Amino acid sequence: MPTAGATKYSAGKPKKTVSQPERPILTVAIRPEKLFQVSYKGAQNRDDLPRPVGYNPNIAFSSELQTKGTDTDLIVKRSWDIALAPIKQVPMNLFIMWMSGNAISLFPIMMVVMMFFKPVKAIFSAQSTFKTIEGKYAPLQKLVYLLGNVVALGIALYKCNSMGLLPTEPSDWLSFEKPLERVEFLAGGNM
Amino acid sequence: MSPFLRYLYGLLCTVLFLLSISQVIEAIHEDQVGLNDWSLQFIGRPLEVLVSATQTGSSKSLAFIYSEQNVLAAIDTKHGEIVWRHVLENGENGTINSGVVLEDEVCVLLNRGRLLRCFDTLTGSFKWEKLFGGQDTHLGKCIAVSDSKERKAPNRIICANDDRIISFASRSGNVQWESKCAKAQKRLLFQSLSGELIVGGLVENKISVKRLSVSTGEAKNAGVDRSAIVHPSTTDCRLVQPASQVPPYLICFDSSTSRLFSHSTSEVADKAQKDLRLEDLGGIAHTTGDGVFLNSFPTDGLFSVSTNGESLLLHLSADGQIKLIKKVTGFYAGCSETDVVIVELADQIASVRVAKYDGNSLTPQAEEALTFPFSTSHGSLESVTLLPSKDVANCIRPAFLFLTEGDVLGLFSQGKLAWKREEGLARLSVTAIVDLPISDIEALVEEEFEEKGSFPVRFTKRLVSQGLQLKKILELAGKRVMSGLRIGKYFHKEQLERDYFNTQKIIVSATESGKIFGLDSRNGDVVYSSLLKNFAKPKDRSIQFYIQRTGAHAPFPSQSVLVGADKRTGNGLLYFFDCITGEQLDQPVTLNRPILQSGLIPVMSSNHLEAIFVLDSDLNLSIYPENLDMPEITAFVKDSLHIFDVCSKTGVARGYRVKLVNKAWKAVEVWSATLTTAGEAVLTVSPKRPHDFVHSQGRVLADRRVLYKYINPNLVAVTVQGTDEGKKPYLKIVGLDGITGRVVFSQVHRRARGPCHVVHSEHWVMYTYWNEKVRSNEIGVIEMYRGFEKPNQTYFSSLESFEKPELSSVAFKLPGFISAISDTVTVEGITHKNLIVALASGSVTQIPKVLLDPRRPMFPTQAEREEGLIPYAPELPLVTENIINYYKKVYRIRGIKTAGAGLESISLVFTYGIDLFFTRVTPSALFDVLSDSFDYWILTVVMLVMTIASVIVRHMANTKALEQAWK
Repeated sequence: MPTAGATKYSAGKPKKTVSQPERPILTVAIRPEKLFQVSYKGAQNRDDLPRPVGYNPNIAFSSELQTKGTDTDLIVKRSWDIALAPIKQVPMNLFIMWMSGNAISLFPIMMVVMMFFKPVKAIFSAQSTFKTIEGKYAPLQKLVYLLGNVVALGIALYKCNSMGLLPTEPSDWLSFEKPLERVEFLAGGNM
Repeated sequence: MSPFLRYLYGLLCTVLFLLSISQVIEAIHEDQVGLNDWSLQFIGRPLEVLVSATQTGSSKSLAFIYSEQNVLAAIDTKHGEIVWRHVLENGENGTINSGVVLEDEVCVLLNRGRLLRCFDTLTGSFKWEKLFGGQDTHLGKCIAVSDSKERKAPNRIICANDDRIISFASRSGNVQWESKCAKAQKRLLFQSLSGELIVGGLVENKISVKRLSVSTGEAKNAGVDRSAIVHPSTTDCRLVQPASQVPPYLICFDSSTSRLFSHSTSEVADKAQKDLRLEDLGGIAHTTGDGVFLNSFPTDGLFSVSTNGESLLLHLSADGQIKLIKKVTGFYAGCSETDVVIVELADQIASVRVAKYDGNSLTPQAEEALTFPFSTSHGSLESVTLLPSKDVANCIRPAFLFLTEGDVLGLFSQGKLAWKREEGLARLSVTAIVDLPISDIEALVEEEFEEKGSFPVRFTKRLVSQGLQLKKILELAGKRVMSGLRIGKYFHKEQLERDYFNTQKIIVSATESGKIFGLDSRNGDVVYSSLLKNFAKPKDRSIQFYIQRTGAHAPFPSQSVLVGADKRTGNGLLYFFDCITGEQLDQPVTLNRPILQSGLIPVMSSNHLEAIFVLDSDLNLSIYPENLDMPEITAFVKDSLHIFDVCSKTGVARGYRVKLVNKAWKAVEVWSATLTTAGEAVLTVSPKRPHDFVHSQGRVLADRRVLYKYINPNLVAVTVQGTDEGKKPYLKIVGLDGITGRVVFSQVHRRARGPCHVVHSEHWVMYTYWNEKVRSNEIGVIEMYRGFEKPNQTYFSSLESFEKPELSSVAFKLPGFISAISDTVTVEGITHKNLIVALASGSVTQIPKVLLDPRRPMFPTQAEREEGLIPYAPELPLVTENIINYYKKVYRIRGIKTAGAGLESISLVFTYGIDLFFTRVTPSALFDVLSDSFDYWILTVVMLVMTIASVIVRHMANTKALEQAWK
């Protein structure tokens, strides 16, 4: 409906134009600016007017209150998310490791490198990550975050160990072993 | 192609290259033939040169030679190349007693006179052979005769062995007649000028002579027997006819008594039987055992006796009188019925003269003698064989083949030396691969950085050295330009110098008769050769060769020493020489006693020289060079040196220490052990190399534990062969600690016998033997481990160690007969070891050590598979790709010498026998250098394209960014 559309777009006067359609149009034609004049004076306390559709005077207040409360919760929650992210990765890592096997080939090596690379990078960029962690649990969360990364590193190390990449056995140091010096020297034996 | 694709291609190439080096590539490609290897073929020490009197139907003129090494070969007399060659059976079965050459076949009498075998002269293809049979035959003799006087070319072969004479027709080999005769220990067979066959037989103290008809074999006389003091094995005879109507005489020389006999072949009682001493005739000194060459001439009554490089021309008159005509340092050869060719040696020049014999004296035909250079390394002249020329009457420009004491075979023709062959190379007995000196410029660079003296001294030294370097570079450039202008080669290397990876070396070798050779390892060219005077192999022992200083120590010459015996006395003889140039360094040292043992003292003196010690049979120890008086050497000899000796006759092993008694070193016996019982004999004694580099001290198992190797540098492996009660042979291998005499291991193989070849290195011993039960060659492997415990000392002392190593041993069958075996050696011992095996079939193959692992399981478990152990298979595969001499067969290999190069991955291999072969092997592939197939060209192109592309793209990106900013 055109009328309804008019009320939607005009603020004050249009109501009149709608309610008095029989008024001479000529004046309107002479001073069109008057026709759409908006007066802010009376708008200060116009309780007589019905409230706009969907307007609830309590909402602004209450929503403000509500946002304040959820914000802190969210920060804590978000911080926990950040802090727990490395630990959440652990089962996935374990699964990948189990999948990639212990053979020394390109794919498992890439996996191991990735596994090392991620936590080390995370630990080195911990300062910037810690900036986003706020709230009262922040120290704990930072600790958890670090611990998570350490656990990830540990798993990577374990993987290396099970792949035999860690020099933990005497066999790994064998090539550094010096030949035994001879005390006596045998010569002769020519036939 | 876009740069990206190029890049991809480059990447692909790199990946492919990396993949390609991950596995061992052993075979070589067609285009690599002869790139890093060479082989040379020889005949051996010639016993006789056979020349066909009438050579027809061939453009080549051939000379046939059979040698001490059982080789029959045809040589192209124009170039001295071998046209064909037959390496006959080894040992007595293939020993050639006599050879004849006919129109189109050459026949040799083999196998103690039992077998006559004929070959085609041109192609060398086998034609026919006849087995005479007979059990206990001695040396036989064959001659080629023609059945009628008109016919010049011989058409039948008459052979005689100890109890029969057989005539064969040439071409078919049909027996024409056979005649029995009395047994003789040495058979003589001649055809007289009148066409009769004269058969002689030597028995102890008796000479029998008989005349036969050539065509029927009927005896023309009853035969005469004369008593004479004669030793059949050392006596050689010739037939000499004083005049055409007089019956010929047998002229014999017994080298064991140095006496010359003459015996008439006529049945009338021989009044003129002569028994002369060589000294009485012409004053040639002859010692027992010296080779003597009797030569008969077409001239009536003339013959010559040659020994020790001197010849006597003698005349036998019709009444049996022998008189001296002329003595010469050289050789006489009969050219025609009146002419004699005289080859005389003086001052390293041989002069050839032709003289006419007029019944009394020689008159030279020409004033000027033809000459050719005759180096001292050739030794004296041993024999001369004239080549028949087309114009027989013309003796003015003779062509002849000569053979010298130093085993040089040469041809003199057209008035000059046409070619010569060093046949001594077929008789090498010791060899070493020696580093070459660095180039002069590099030597100057090294000098530049010597840190001696104060700062200004060093600074001036550096300036001077750099000036010298510049001068040297300019000199070299000048030389190159000059030689380039002269011979058209700008990069011709005259001097032997080291290359970048030290793969180019000099191979120094010596024969048992004292001839030294230096060979260029690039192509086998003889750099130098020299013949030592009075040098011989010691009795019951082999000659020894030690490198005291290599060419690597620039200002000092390299030095090596050859340890042998004096030919005359049998006492020890040391000969010092520079192994790069072959020059003699000091006076040879003659000892007063035979040498028992010798060895290097591994203490380097200030001039980088390692001394040698010599232990004589009286247990006196002396150190050479004598002027080297260093406290380190004294301390070493006193504290560390132990000497080990096994007497091959008695089988007693002894260990000695050295003590100072009355200011002289004396060896004191520490222990002794008898290794053999009755009926046993020591076959081999194999100590380790003095410096055996073992990089890895243990073996890593699948569970990552370490199995430590038992590396005892003093371990000696001794093989003993014996016969058990059932007359079956057995082989014993004993591992002894040479310092304490403690037996570390001992194994017995039943029904096994030699020949034994032992390789002893690292913590393992490998030995080859013949298994009589399965009739095949086997390789036994013994590995020694000390267990999983890490050794808690940093030293190894045999006196303190009482541990018994854990042994694992296994034997493998090898499809082939092994003639020599060795292991590869590299600089640091990091590279895997391969076994180099020379087979009697002429192949030299390499077998990876992994295959010869006693831990190879029958049914491998997961862990063993992970460790890389191959399941056990009793037979070792002979893979054709592993044959390092591919189609260049080498025969009768007696030894293999391996040496490391500058690169860890490369090991140089030199095999010697009748043939020589040199190559390089890479047991773990060329892991430390880019392979030959690496495409440097593509790499360069890719790099260039990438650089250009990045510049262009950068420019384009800048333009685009600017346009973006304006929008």
